[in-house]
Amino acid sequence: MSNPPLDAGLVTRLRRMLGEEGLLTGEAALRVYECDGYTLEKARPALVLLPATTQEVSRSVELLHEAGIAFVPRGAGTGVSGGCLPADIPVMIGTSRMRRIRHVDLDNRRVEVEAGVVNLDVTRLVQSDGLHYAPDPSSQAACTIGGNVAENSGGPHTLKYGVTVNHLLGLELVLPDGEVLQLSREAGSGGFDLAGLVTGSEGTLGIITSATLALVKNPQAVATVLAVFPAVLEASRAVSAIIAAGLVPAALEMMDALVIEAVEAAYGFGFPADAGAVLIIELDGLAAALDEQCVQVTKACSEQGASEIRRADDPRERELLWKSRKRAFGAMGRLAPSYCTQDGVVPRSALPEIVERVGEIGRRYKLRIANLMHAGDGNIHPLLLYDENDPAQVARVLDAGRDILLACLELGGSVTGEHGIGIEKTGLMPASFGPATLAAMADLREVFNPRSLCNPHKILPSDRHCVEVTRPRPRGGG
Amino acid sequence: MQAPQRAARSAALAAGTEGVPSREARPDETLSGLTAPTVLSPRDQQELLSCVNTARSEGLALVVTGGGTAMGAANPPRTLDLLLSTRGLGGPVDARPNDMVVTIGAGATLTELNRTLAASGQRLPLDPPLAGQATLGGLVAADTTCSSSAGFGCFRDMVLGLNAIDGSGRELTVGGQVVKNVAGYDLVRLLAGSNGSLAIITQLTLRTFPRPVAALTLQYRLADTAAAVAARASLLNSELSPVVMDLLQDGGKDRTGDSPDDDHERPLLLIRIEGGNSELDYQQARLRELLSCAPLAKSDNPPDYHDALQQGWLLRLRAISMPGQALAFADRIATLVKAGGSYQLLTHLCSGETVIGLEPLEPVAAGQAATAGRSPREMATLLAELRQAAFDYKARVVVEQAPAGLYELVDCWHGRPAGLGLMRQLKKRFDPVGILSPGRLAGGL
Repeated sequence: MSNPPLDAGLVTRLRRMLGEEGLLTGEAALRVYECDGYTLEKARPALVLLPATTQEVSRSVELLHEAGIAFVPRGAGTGVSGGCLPADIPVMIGTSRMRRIRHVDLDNRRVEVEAGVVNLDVTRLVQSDGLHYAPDPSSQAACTIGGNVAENSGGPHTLKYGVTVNHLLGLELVLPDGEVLQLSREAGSGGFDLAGLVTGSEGTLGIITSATLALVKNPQAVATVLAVFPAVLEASRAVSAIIAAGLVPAALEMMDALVIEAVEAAYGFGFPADAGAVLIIELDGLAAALDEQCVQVTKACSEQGASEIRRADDPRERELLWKSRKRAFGAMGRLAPSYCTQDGVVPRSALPEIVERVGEIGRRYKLRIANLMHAGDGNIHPLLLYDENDPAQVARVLDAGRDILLACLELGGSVTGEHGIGIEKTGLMPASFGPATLAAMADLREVFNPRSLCNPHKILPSDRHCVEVTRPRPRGGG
Repeated sequence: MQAPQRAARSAALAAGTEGVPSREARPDETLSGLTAPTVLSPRDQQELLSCVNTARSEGLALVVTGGGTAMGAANPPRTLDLLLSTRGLGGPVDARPNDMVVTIGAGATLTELNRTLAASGQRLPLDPPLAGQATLGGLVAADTTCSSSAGFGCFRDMVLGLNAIDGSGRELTVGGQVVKNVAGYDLVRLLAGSNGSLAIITQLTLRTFPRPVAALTLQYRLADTAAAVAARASLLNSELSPVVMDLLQDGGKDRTGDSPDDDHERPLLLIRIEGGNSELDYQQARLRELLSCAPLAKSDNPPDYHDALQQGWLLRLRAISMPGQALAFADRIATLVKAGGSYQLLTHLCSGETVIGLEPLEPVAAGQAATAGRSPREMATLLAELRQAAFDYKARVVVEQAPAGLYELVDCWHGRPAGLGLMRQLKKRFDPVGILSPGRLAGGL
């Protein structure tokens, strides 16, 4: 597909409608938009539009649709699979000026916010009422709700609370021809769950301009347990033992020795220097239940060989622990000039096996691989360390990353648990789905996006894309 | 349909689905007032595929049924050549308690599933009506609301993966056996709640949860709906999260006969709590404080009023509103229906849905038809009044079960869903010949 040139008349009309702050041109202003957290491939858009209202989004899209010009929606650009990469796409539509809180409805436990509202700000809005918004991706201080819905974002607390789609009640969507739809997920409509379908569609079915989100009651009590293991294998077995004991922790996170080394250097939490792996186990609910559950967790961990188990009950200690975990990606720079975060999923019980396979792959390709995991979900984030100035290493990282994801598929898992396919993993779609299912996916995209003007070349393999299947990237999410 | 035409269709059907068990429909097997000439019961995915392919090539309209518990909960199809029962799609159950997932044939019932899961200390914690009869495929296809949705969400939230055959004969495999998965478009979302009008679900992978150490159902007799509104508010603002919070209201004479007291016209609040023993003690003590009264009755068993509500009434409607407006709307509903005789209202306080039972089914002698107090025309008028009232509460009222005559007079759905144009196009892509439940959904979908 080739895009017609952006004509000056169109740009003038857009500028007149959006104003100077709603339309960016020029090298300096556009540089920040050339990639998201997936930085190996870059492409600068010719034009960035920053509409402030749904009507402006709709009108902009309508004009682009009439002119046959492709566009890509963008939230905060914290995605890590190149979902908003403007590759062969002249116009980017950012939601950063759409930050209004449309409605707070405490009685019905819901809020409606515009797409550009930051994830953490939703919780800040209602925390004094004893409520929060449950999905909490690592980038929650920056990422937007529109982006979260587009990616069906997860986070450490999805084990108990589920992912974005489990908390979505409705959304406002601007279709690729400019039509605005208000989609509700209420029961008994006699139609299909279009809002659910749009969730996780990575900006390829339209532009989300607002979302109605369910709010969750804050738990009465929280207990955080830290367990130190000699190696990842024992820690993985402890994860299975905790689940087998009938517990559903709010979060069950694992860091291996390399990650511990990096976060210890950055934040000084006080992890033992010889720790092979640590588990962070968070339990929440009624205070009356937690002591008993902590005893069960302690038992499961010590039976699997934990050398140290302690409860982080002091809120400051707990905060530092979570900071160490959520900012672990940022600390990785201390270990290597670059790293590539992978995002794969296996059944929980296959964690020990995938951990061994990742180790083998690291040895085979002579790469250091650090392991960060949402262990309770079976969602692994291997971090492949390398030096981007060494092309041979870059090539090995690409191959190793692909082998890890194929191993996840072999173990009955998926090539992405929360980062999305984006542009990065389109080549792995045929390994993930049969031809009939891929054809059905192509069908539904055509229904929403018949001219393929809205974020083309993403999710499904396309003829245009000639880049490698998996590319390393120096930052990560999750 | 003309008799010769019908015979030709039957012949085509028989030829194309040879080997698939078939029978004539029973007289009580009606689908929104219609009877299908034939019921096919494929035993596996291949037999189901041959049914779909025959229907496609011969242009036969089919409606998928599971346990037959929701046959009246949609408009009659434009044409009906056969019922396709998925009850035979069982197959081995692959339960993985350590992964908290299970894979099972869509024809299995929830009761069957939970019996299997019990051995490993797991369960699927939803509690739809007629759980021993309704199939899992049907429950997901209808995204049936449950009492325990308050604690665990809907059926659509339980589905991690599925296999299905769409109306063009494509065998779809979506999602998988992992709890987090964002690869590709989420076809699970499209199919859950689509009532079998895009594809027929053959197998499901579902989340499971550990069985609680203990659980308790508590019943509280409240003074009136104002007390119920206050009870809802104090529960909502407390630290408690009961897995069931329902309000049951009976109007007219007590129909169940097993009411624990003589006060059956006053609302009954039903709460179910779960957890460890110390948690249960704590919750019971707090409930006494919050509701300022002791429970009327306590039981380890889950609530049993669903099945009676499902089977005891000739006309069953469902009102859907925001949770905060549900009790006010239920009050208004009571005002509108009470002149016509007995009724029962079950309000799920968390989802805001109210199931309305009207026209009690008295036990009748074999061969005798049940008689209703209201004629279909009077029922249609009442439905119109309820829908008019619903406007004030931003609510909707849909039909779940009705006598045959009512389906000719009303639309089971209340209004048209946003995005109907897209839905029609999706229907064309997934069911190009229009063989799957044509016209059953809103707006003629």
